[in-house]
Amino acid sequence: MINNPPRNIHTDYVASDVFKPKDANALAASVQYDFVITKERVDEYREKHENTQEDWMDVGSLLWEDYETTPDYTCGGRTAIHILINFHTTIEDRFNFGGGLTSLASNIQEVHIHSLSSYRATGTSLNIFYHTHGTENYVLFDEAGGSLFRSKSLHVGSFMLWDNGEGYPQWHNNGGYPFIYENCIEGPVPTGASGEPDVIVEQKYWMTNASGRRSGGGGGVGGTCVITDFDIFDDGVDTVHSSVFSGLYTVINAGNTRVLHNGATEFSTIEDDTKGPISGNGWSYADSGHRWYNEYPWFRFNPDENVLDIYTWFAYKGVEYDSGVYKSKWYVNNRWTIGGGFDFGIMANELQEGIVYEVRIHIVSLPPSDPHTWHNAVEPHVPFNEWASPISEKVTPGVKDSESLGQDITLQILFTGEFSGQCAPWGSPPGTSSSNPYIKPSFKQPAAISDNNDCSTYSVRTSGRIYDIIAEATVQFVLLGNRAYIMSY
Amino acid sequence: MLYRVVLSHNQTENIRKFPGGCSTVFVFDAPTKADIDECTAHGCSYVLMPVAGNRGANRNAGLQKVLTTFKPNYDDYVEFLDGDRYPITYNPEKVLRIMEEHDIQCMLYSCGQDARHEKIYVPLEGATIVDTGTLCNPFYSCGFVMRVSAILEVMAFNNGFLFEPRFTKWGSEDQYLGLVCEHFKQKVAITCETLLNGKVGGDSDFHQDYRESLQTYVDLIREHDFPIRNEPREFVVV
Repeated sequence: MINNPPRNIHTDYVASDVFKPKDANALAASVQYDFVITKERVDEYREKHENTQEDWMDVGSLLWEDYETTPDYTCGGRTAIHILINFHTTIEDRFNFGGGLTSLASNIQEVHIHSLSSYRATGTSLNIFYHTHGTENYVLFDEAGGSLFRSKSLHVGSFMLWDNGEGYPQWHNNGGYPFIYENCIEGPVPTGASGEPDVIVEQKYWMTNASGRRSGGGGGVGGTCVITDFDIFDDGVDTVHSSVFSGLYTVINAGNTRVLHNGATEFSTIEDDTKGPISGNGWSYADSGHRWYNEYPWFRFNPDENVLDIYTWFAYKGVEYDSGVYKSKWYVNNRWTIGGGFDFGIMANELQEGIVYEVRIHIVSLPPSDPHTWHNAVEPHVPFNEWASPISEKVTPGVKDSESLGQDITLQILFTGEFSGQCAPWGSPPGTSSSNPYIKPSFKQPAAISDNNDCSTYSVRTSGRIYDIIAEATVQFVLLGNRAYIMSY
Repeated sequence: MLYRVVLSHNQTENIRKFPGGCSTVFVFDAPTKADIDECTAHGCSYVLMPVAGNRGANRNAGLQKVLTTFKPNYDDYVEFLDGDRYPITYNPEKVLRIMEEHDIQCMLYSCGQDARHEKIYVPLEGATIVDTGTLCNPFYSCGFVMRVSAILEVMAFNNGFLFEPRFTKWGSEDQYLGLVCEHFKQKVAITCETLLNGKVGGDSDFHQDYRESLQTYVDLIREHDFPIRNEPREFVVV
């Protein structure tokens, strides 16, 4: 019986430890795998089941040799389990997710399959969530073994393939967006190149749960916050919201936004978050009496904090199929209208006189693969979980200014109370330049282009712009002489 | 008479780009033998700083060298330039004449790309008297010339330093100097008569380090209770 222990990297982290790039990776690694399929186990399985190299490997048998005689695995009472295929598979590796896997404990409602690379799948009759990572990785679903969309959810990187029974794989890239279907209906996939699923309920990037809060800089300055949207590809919404931030942290909509507090190990929703004051040394929100328009609260700095980091995603890597060759490509997330700017509400009448506050905007491209190796069909040399971290140190470089992001980004900080009005940049007090209330922050690259220079030669340019970036913009402001000043260029 | 202080940080190739004709002190904060050789060959003095990057301290050190070595008079002038801000157009005689005629204590030089020009009209000839009594005043220290009497007045206020030594990182030390000038009602102007290489404004690369300096700036304003004007006085072109 193979029952690998959960890959529980750490259980005792605290916010101050977690919220550094390295530790954010650890946070990402905290996704627990109930079972890990190793190369050794596959070799063992193949040796025991002769002539199976060309056949389908029964995942149930990979996990439990004795599933037929001991069918009831409680998995700790969880209703969802995660299985990691922890070796470099190829499209020739065939996994059957029917068979023994269907003998799981009756309480299991979801099976998540995580893989580092491409493979072939069949028997998708359970509520299986397929997660592949890396832009060149996919799951080739074999119609012969069952219906493609009988799986409850498909999270298969940027595109997916299925065997159309005509001897070559059929490719579909969902218009360049990550191919993530949920609540798929049962039924065969239409044979043909343009087979669209009947239902697309929701698209999510599960990897975004790897975001974390970093500790603040030195000097006794308080912590910082990560505010992110879990659903930047909200295909379930017909009308994409026209502004990035309506209120403090609503990138697309409040329902899909999560906030991570100091000391917290789980993200909370805005709805949960604003029910009451936040205790401890985290940041907090205004009460309902001070809400900004659109019913979202103003931001309030706690007395020991003066820095806020906002991480938001901009572009992502996908794959283009051209003349029989898959090429990595960066896609701009046009649906995410960052050009609308950041509207940012501050409880100015609670700012401390003479304290320089800082808001840092980080534009982060999701790192589905290691930029060192993404163009190669080789084993990536960063661990899977590092990919999942949007604060990964592996994700560096690029061109860093507003223009290079392909959008004209503005920032508007609105102050409350007696400072009500709009602030103009460069030291102007509020209300004096209402015709030009926006700051156009200068984005810069946080790290020099080094190893990632490869990107310039591997089709990652779109309209001459590089998108594999982390861009950062910083805006400082200060309350001085009973006025709030924005101190940025 | 004009004296000059140039900050040089790995900018050996620029040393010869600074015009002769006045006593010059180079301040090297990452000195190499090539720096010293080039500086000496160029007929200049030098100061070697033990720590790189503190521009205010470097200027103070260069000024000290000028004051102790050349012993300028009260009505002489000291010019401060950064190592990459060598003049593209250089007209010191006219600049000093304008300063004398209009009793200007400090003249800011313009750069090839100068964000201040978006807010201040600066004629190609002559100068514009500016207001340094606002929070983000136009005092940038990468290139300016100041009368020695005005320098000494500021030094007396700053415990012997032209640039407040509490600024140890990039940013705000020059704008604070602008506020001190305003405090003493020193007349500050900006000109294109001397035009420098490089640009002013948009230095977003430094923003990560800027907050600490900005906090020092704000602390000093509060400490001295400097009044801050929200809008600058009307500019005067001379």
